[in-house]
Amino acid sequence: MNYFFTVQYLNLYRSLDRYFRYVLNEKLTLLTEKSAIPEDNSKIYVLDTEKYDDRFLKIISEMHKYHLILLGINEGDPIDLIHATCLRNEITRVLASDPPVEVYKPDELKDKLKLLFRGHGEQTLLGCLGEVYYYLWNYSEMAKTGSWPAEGLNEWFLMPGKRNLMEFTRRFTKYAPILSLAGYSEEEKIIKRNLNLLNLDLLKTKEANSLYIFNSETLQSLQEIITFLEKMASEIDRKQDETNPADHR
Amino acid sequence: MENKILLINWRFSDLNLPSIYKVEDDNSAKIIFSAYKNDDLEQFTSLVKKILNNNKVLILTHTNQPNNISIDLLKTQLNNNSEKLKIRGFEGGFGKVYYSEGKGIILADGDPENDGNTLLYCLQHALVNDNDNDNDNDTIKKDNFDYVWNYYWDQLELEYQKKKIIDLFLPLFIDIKILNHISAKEKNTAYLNEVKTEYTESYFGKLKKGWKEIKNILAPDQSPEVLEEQFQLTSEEKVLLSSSQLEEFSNIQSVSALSEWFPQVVDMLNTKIDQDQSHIA
Repeated sequence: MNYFFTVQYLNLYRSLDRYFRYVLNEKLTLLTEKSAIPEDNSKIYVLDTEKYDDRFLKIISEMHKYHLILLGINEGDPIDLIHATCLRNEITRVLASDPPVEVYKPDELKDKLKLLFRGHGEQTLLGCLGEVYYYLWNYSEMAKTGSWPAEGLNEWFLMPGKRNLMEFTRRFTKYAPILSLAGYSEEEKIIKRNLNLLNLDLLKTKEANSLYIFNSETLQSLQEIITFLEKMASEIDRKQDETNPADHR
Repeated sequence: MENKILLINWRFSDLNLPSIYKVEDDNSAKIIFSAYKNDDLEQFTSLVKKILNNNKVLILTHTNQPNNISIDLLKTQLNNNSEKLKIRGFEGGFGKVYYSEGKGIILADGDPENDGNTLLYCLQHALVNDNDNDNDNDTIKKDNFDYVWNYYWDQLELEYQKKKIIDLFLPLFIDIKILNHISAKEKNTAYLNEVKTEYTESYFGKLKKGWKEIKNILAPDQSPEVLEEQFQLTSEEKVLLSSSQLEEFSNIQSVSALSEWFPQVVDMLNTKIDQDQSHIA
């Protein structure tokens, strides 16, 4: 099956659909965030300018196997919609290429991931997670002593810890598909699993009438997330040094 | 949180400047009005540095008398290479910042000798009506703010205009390729019937309207250039841009000339954009 993802160019989709039907004798289905996830091994066409759209990344991150085909308007793009003398031949050539043309270039992914860690002018990702650890660890340790009032600990430590965790989860979820594409899919899965464990245990703080003592695995899960992210951040920085030494001059 | 801050520097005569105004139904947007002259550049840049703070800041400054602000100098002073700061100039009554037909912000037809340059006079049509407290009305209508912001922040970017051109013409361009491919009579008829429902009179009406808007920015006929100097098209480039007789487009079969013209225009714009980026690098 052929799919075309777009949010901005619906007129273009209709023209491409006609091209597929009248010239290639195939069907091109519009892929949107509301569509069902395409079946494995589908051919998915996307414009260069929309390949980093969050909705698109979410769709492909939920697929196991797919063939991404990048459409552009510049000479040198895998399929150049404007300059190709015969679009049909170009599509055939790209589909037959083995391995498929790389849609996400390592440098572009690294730049995106640097944004994940650095934040868009906000606190760094590790800084945000550090706050989560600080507040939740203190909450847990003080709760164990039994000598602190529940109200105070909730206000001083539990609530700020939860707020920072929500912020971390929001930022991580947005970039999770890019982590997978950049070769960190195992780490991404483990972090997601650990975040679930953490959130499940935190839910129990609502149910508990008094102070809640975290499960021993909870803070361990949090520490594991920090370790993974520190390793990734250092690798991404190192890769940047290797590929772009001029940036640091 | 990232705010949108519009700073309009003009010949306002109020004494309590700079003055901050809110925007209707938009807590993330603000407008600051000021009246810095070229002698006050240090104070002007100091204000901008204070408000940058990870916000999107759009400066619109009057460039001739009495402000005489040099855009180049202002950019140099602000070491402007941020995607979050844009500096545009306006002068001589030209520009969307001026209030006209319900749009824009500054009404500039007042008598300077008679409070005609005060915020009270110049913003009279752009303010939200506040019957309860007429003397303390500091909220600009959202439509007027959005109109000015969208024009100066987005539309005056060559990249934005390129996207508009692609959005308008790439679908047609692909359909012309289809026309060149299909020859069998039945297929041809089916195809033409299908595109007739797509490319209706109203479609071509929208296309002409969109094209006129693009030309007003890339190749203005009479009004002064609105793009920054490095993006302005040469006379040859303007000839290329205007060489397609879009006014005559009425159906899909009348647009075949587009297949040569469209790639040339996109290439020309790409070259222009690349030149600017390599200049920055």
